[in-house]
Order: sequence, then structure tokens, then C-alpha cells
Amino acid sequence: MSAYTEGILILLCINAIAAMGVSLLTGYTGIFTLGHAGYMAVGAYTAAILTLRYNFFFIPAILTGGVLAALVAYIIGVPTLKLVGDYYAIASIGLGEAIRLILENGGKFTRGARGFPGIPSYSTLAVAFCFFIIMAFLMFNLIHGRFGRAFKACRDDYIAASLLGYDTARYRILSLVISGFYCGIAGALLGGFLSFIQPVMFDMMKSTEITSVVVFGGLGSMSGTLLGVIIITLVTELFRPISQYRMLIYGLILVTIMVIRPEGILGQYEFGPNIFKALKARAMEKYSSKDNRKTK
Amino acid sequence: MTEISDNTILSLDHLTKYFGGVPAVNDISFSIEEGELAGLIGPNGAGKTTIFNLITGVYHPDSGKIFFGGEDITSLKTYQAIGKRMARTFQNLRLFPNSTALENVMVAVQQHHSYSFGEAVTHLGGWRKKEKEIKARSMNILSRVGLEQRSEQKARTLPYGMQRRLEIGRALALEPKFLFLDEPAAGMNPEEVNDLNALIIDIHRERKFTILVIEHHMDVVMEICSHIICMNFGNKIAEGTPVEIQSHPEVLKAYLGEEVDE
Amino acid sequence: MLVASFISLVGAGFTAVLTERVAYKPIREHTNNTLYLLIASMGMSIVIENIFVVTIGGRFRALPDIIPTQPLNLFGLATTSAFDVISLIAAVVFLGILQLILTKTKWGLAIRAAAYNLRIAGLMGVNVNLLISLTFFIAGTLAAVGGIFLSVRYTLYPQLGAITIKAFVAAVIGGLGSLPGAVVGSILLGLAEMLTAGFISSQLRDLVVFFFLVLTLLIRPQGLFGKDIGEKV
Repeated sequence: MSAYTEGILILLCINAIAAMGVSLLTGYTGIFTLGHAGYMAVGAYTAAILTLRYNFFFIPAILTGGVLAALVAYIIGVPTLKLVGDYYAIASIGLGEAIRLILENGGKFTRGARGFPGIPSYSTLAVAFCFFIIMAFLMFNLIHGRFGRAFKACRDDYIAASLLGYDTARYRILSLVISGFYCGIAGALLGGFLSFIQPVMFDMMKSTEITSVVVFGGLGSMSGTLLGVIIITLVTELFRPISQYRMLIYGLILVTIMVIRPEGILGQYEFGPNIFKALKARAMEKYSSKDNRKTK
Repeated sequence: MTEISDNTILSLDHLTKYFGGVPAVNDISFSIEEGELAGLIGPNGAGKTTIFNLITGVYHPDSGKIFFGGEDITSLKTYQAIGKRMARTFQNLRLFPNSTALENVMVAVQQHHSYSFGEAVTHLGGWRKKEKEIKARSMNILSRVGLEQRSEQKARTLPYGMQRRLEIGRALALEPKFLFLDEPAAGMNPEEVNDLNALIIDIHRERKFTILVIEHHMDVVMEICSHIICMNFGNKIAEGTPVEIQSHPEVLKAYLGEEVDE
Repeated sequence: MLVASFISLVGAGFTAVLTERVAYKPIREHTNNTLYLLIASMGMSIVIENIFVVTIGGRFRALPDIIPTQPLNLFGLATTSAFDVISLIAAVVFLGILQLILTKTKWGLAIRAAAYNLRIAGLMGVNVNLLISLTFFIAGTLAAVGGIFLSVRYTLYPQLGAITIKAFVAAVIGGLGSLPGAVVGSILLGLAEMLTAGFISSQLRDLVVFFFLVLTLLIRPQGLFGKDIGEKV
């Protein structure tokens, strides 16, 4: 396997982890965000500082990056999640930028806008892949169970959810914290892959990239998110030469999908044994709509 | 005048709620005994749904108090009020449209048959057993309301009458001590209304809990309720047994209008 | 200069209407879900911004001094530039016009009605599509005014619109849904920003904005003059 192919695969794993986090928050819990690159930055810088300056072994460094990102998500999330969906999205842009600004002004500690070089290259294909597999396992388990149902309830109708006894604020925060953790891990892995990080790498363009991948793959489908990551990462690599158009393309993806097929590629379907149940249910739906016509 | 006995489970004390300058609920007081099947009637806009919303914490009253099971629940948030073991259905149906009938019920069942976060992400420990239990209980509820054939169907594609039954099932799944039904028979034909009456009476007898029904269909209320409260323009205008209510002048005036002297 | 401004205002207005027709109308007609509209509008702003980046180029440009900037002395108390006074006057004038339109004209009434319930407004005989296009036109024009003043005062670059985030924070502080609240919030936020830049550090300016957002949400989430339009249950 060439170094180039290996690099693409590592990048796929990293993007997939971040995308899964955002997918949980946006697709499953219905909270749109354009600022999650900020959590990647927290993870990346934490891991970089711990490995380079304090000689941590890379695995605890990466994990600490994730935990710290989750913590930041929690602290910011408690007040800002009071904003209803549409408004939170705008705040999230400000959040992402605020994190970037703090890192740029961190003086000697974060090396500022010039960037942080010399991070040990701990993100080998094996490492990235292991992290991906484990985190995908945990995520798919989470959504196929009571938490997945609870998040979707908060998304579909938060009033009905609260009238079923759900503290929707708590679930929203939980979703945000988990998504922050995932993005933190992804950021930490990214640092170990590129050996160099700069605050500007985690700006709104990066956030938009992750979010448009999730929207493209399907809001409410984790497998759709993974499919979206694969397609978009590969396409971006193929079109490397025209990278100044990247932002424009991400924006166009967002708009076009919303106009043509807002559910994204897979919509709310997941790959797996349930797909047969879902197809059978669709058949029943057609049967019942004929039913409806009779009783009218 | 609210008589509070040892058996009182719900008690409203001079409850008032203004929207803008209009009193949607004006100095309302009544109490419901445990195990009653009571009815709340009145013309449209009388404030009946507002009462439900006040009790379940969706709105906060401008003055007055609400007691449930002896506790003052006036200032509780919605999910906290529900946590005191009450459940409600909605005038305009609030199912989760893209979830299946089964999932809709499971969301309710899992509130009292839960498992930890650790078990959720690993699917280890008691996870498999508890998920099976949640599913089994949910299917039970669906059978109870006659929907077990439609368990995998998306809620928004169900026929209207079934959606209403699903919502009642979902409320039952919360294992409440008190069930609030907001116009459960709305939009139903006479045959469906009969089935609904039978269902409500059945579950009331089976579970021996308290039910308060808002209804316009007089045949529902007069047949199944033992205690009826009538409202109009936010005020309580009558309270009593079906027989008393049927002949009460204020009630007749509210529904039929005043008699014109020739 | 006035001709150029006028053309740009009208141009911006029409661009807004165009985006609405092309991108938002199809979504609006398909679904009730406001999230999709939100995503589309975020996407649209990225697209427009980057069209400029790709065609004209993203570097910062300085505009000629088309609005006078000589220093003015205010009642002997403070000195400021003529430019700032003019922009203040322009702000007051345009806000005044907006308030007049909203309260005194037939269309303004229609807009306020539609804000409560679009469908009912349509049933009452309002041409909904025309109304929405009109609203977008007004919004586009006002935004263009802001853009002109911003670009002359500072520099011109595609990401100029990022200041709308601060505008949003100002609206939250003042209370979403309240026009006077938005004005008060903007003044407060502007003051806070400038005082920070002056006395503490100009790098921290943007952070202060964010800090006030969080503070408002923690202490008084509905803002200073916030109206709470509850959902019917």
C-alpha cells in the first residue's frame, strides 16, 4: 500500500469519527451546528501539548483531548443550548470562532497563529483504524437503544418528549458532549497525522465540511453519514487541484441537497437487518393507504 | 369550594391564567378523587386544554395552586410533573410521525424500564434482556389498543382512528396514576366512538387509576363519567353527576344559547 | 457615488429575492421543517461569499474616501469623524423608514401578520409569495447599506458578512422579537467591544461579544426586552 493511499484511509477514519459525532448532534438530536471544528481544535492542541511538552504516551493524550473537548462542549452547551435550534446554529459559528481566537492568542502555550509543529506522528493507519472501529461500535450501539430513541424524540417533538417525562435539556447537552468528545478525538488524531496544527485549520470551513458531509449522507442515518464521508473525502481528494473552490462546493452541496432531497442519500434508513423490516412496513403502508380510501 | 378528602389525588385551587389581557382560566377550583373517571366539558375556547397544560407544567399559572397526590406541583417543569406519574394525550395528536408505532410506545415504556449509559454503548450487561423487556411491554400495549399488526408502520401513515388509539397506548405505557385525555374521540365516527368508550372503561376498570377526559361528544362523557365539570369562558359554571349536569341551566345556556322570550 | 450606492442597494435587494426564489421557495413548499431552510440559508451565504472569493479574489481592498471623513467637533465635548456621524444618521434614517413601513403601511401590517402565521395570512388574501419576496428585498437592501458603510470604514473583503454573527448576538441580548431591543443590544455590544479594544486588547474584542452572549443566556435568556411567543400545545 502506498503512503498516499494509506494517508487517504487515515483521513477517512479521522473524518468519519468527527462526522459521527456531528451526526449524533444534528441528525439524531436535531441541533444544527457549524462550529464543531472548534472541538477538533481543542482535542488536537491538547494531544499535541501533552505528547510534545509533557511526553505523554499518545493514547492517553488522544483520550484526554477528547475528554477536554467534551468538557468545553458541556461548559458552553449548558447556557447556549437554551437557544432554540435555528438560533443555536448561529451561536455555534461564534463558538467555533471563539475557540480559534483563544488558541491564536494563547501566546507561548499554543504557539499562536503560526501553528504548532513537530507533533509526533502517532496516527498510523492501525491506530486510526482502531479508534474508528471502536468509536463506530460504541456509536452504533448507542443509537440502537434507548438513547437513540430519546434523542430522536427530542428532535421530532420536544414538547411531546417532555410530556413523556424527558428532560430534553439534559438529553441535548448529553448529545453535544458526546459529539464534542468524538470531534476532540478526531482532532487529536489529525494532529498526529499531519504533525503540524494551526488554528486556521479548524475554522468555519472545516466545520462546514463536517456538517455538509452529515447533511449529504442523511440526517438521522449513521450509515448514511459514513457513506457520505467516504464519497466526499474521495471526491475532495480527486478534485485537489481546484481546492480554492472547496468552500463554494460545500455551500452548494448544502443548498442543493436541501432543495432536491433534504433527507440526504440514505434519509433515515440504516443498513442492517432492519432494512427488511422497513421494506415490509412500507408495503403495509401502501396497503393501509388503500384501506384509508375505502373508509372515506 | 374544594373539598379535600384523604382520597383526593388532584386539586386545583383558584387557578388563573391570562393570555394577553384575556383570562383563559379564571379562578378555577375543583378536585378529583383517586380512581374516578371524570369529565371536563364546555364549548370551544372554554379553557379546558389550558387546564391540562397548567397541570402538566406546559404553562405556569398567574395565580393559584395545583396539588397532586398531596404535593404542590404548581411550579414544576413539564418533565417533573410527568414524573409524578401522570400522562396525557393531545387534542391535535402529537405522535412522533416518522417513528413506527412500536417505537412511539417504546419511547414511553423505556422511561420506567431503563438501563445505564454503559450498557447502552456496549450492549453488554443487562442490555439485551432489558431491550427485550421494553419491546415485549410495548407490544403488549399495542395489543391492548388493537394495533399489534401495525407495530412496524410509521405513525404518520396510520389511519386517523388508529393514531388516536396509539396515542392513548403511549400514554398508558407511562404507567401513570392519572391519565388526562384531551378530546380522544375527536374526528371519530359513531362506531369508533363506541369502541373508544369501551376501551376507556376497560382500562379504567383494569388499572384502577384516575382518568380525566375533555370531550365534546356528550355521549362519551355522559356514559362513562361519574363526575363532570363544565367550563365556559374560563370559568367553572357547573359541577356534578351526569344527571345534574344534563339539566343544569348554565350548562344548557352555554351549549344551546339563551332562550329568547317571545 | 450616490448612484453607485443606489444601484448596489437595488442589486442587493434583487439578489436576495433571487436566492429566495431559487433556493428557499422550493424548500418552503415541500416541507414545514425550518431546519432545512436554516441549512439552505447557511449554505447560500457560504456560496455567495465564495462566489466573490473565486471570481474577484479574497484580498482586502480599500475603497476611495467617498464618504467624507474629516474630523468633527461635537459641541466641544468630543471629536469624531464626519463619517461616523453620517453613518449614525443613516442608521437612524433607515431604521426609521423600516419602522414606518412596518407600522404604517398595508404591506407592513401584512408582514407582521405573516410573522404570526403565514398560512392564515395567505388565507386572508395576502399574496404570500409576493410578500416574502418583498421582505427579502427590504432585508437585502438594508444589509447592503450596512455593507457599504462597513467596507468604506474598514476594508472590503468577502467575509465582511461575518459581522452578522455579532448582529445576532446583539439581537439576543436585546431580546429576539423586539426591534427596540435589537437597537439597544447593538449599542451595548458596540460599546462593550470598543471599551475592550481600547482598554484591554483589541484581539479580545471578538471574545467579549461571545462572552456577553453566554452571559445573557445564563442570566436572562429572553434578553432585555424579549417577547416570548409560546407554541400552542
